Amino acid sequence: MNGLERIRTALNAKKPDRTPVFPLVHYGTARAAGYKIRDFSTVPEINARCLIHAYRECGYDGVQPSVAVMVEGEAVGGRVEYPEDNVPFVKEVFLKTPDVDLLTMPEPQTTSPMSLVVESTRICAAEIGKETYIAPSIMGPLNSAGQMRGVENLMFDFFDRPDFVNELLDFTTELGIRYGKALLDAGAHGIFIGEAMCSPSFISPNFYRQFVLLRQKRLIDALMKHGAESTILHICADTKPIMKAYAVETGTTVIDLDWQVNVAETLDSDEMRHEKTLVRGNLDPAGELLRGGPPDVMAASRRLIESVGKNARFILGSGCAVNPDSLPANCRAMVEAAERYGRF
Amino acid sequence: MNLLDEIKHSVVSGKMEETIAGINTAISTGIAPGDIIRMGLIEAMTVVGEQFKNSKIYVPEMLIAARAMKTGLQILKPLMVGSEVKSLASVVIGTVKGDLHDIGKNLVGIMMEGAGCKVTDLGVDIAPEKFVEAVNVHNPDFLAMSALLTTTMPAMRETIAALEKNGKRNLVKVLIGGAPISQKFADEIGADGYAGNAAEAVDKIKAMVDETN
Repeated sequence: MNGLERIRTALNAKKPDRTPVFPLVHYGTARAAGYKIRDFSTVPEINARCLIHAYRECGYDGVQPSVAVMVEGEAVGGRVEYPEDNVPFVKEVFLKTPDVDLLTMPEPQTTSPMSLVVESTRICAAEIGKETYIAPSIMGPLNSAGQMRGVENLMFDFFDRPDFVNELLDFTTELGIRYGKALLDAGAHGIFIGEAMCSPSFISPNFYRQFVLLRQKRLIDALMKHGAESTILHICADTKPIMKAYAVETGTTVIDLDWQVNVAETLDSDEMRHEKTLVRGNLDPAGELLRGGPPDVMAASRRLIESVGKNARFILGSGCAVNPDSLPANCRAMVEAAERYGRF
Repeated sequence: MNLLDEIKHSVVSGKMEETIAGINTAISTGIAPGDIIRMGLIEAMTVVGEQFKNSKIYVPEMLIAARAMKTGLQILKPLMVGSEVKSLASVVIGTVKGDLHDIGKNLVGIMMEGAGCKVTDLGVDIAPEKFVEAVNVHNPDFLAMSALLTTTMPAMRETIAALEKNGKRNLVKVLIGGAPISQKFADEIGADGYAGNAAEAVDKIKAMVDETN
């Protein structure tokens, strides 16, 4: 089986030849291909080149075209700084005043940096899309709003002007739908949705339900209707307090668990046991993947694979974003572990 | 409920206007500003810290409580007379080089302030030499560093090395925190302490101050 067949088989609730491997790695691929993160983040051909190079070097089963969490924030007019070899970030948010009417809906095909990710997706799909799973990143409604308004401002807005928050989240949901559709049209098989801010280590399960859950569902429904084979919804840290809403009620195909959550227990939990949702996870990106070597990654991957047993609803992943230092050896070790210990 | 309890309650529930009104009433009835800070604001932030640790409240609730406390402090601090100004410890805090995330750092800073520390916040994207310079200038008991990215974590190690190189390492306790940070990483880079959240950071400082006293 190739990577595309492997992930598709798992998504169809069948057993592939071995555990699929799909780490959350985007800017982390730059150095291994001989580029700086700024080049990766600003030139679509380099973005695709780095992703394809790392995929070929490491042998995992999917690639994730992306720049960083700031894409939507810059697309609406935020000022972004691109350090030479570190992750770009919003230096000045666009919505300094809480007024949604100031926003213009950006066109993903032509507005940078969304257009860069669309183009990188097109290149990846054309070059390796018949052998590996292409799932570019978009931000979920809350993350996207945070990049437009500023995270701290938005936290105060929850209390000071909830109507504005609702309007802004409607805007970011619509933007996510348009952006995701453009990526699917460019050849993506699935869409990765980043929603770090929904973490129960950040906002309460009540706020998640009150402000975000139904918008994530609307986004996911629209993308699936547009032909997405999957959505991979990532929420950081310990997501147990929101598991049912996150894994089931959003309607996502895959949840992407951070390292703090036990994958086997999640799959076997009351919320998840009878559901179709797959779990991708969850080595520690700042632990064995960054500060360990291939033997540590092999051991941790083996423990994870064996804890899940022969459950086909599992994709071996990296918990959160992979650091450039983890490539290629440590990501390759994930694949070797799946080859050795993850055979069905 | 007495006046100080009312102020405390307003801060815990993040009600800024009620906090201001309560403080103004307390001042006009002759309560010493230091007592309002201790029994109103600091006690409120202790409650907030406990509620956060027990997942009764989350970051947004903590932020609005911190905002109310900070507004209160701004009113009260100029009214304090010399003998009332006594801090638990002095802290220099900042987010490391290359990293612009500041919510966690701000919360840690404000919780420390809420616990009675004198806090100097350097801001974000702080290079090792800037931390060293701040240690020279402010001579703090603690240096607290934050990082949210695996790509910026190494700047913590570099900062500790810069402190060593400049002969300042033994003069200050180094505390670190942030999403990818762990006790293991703190041990690896020779930090004196790690805290998983803002409330824990305050506990760490209190424990370390007790140890030295």
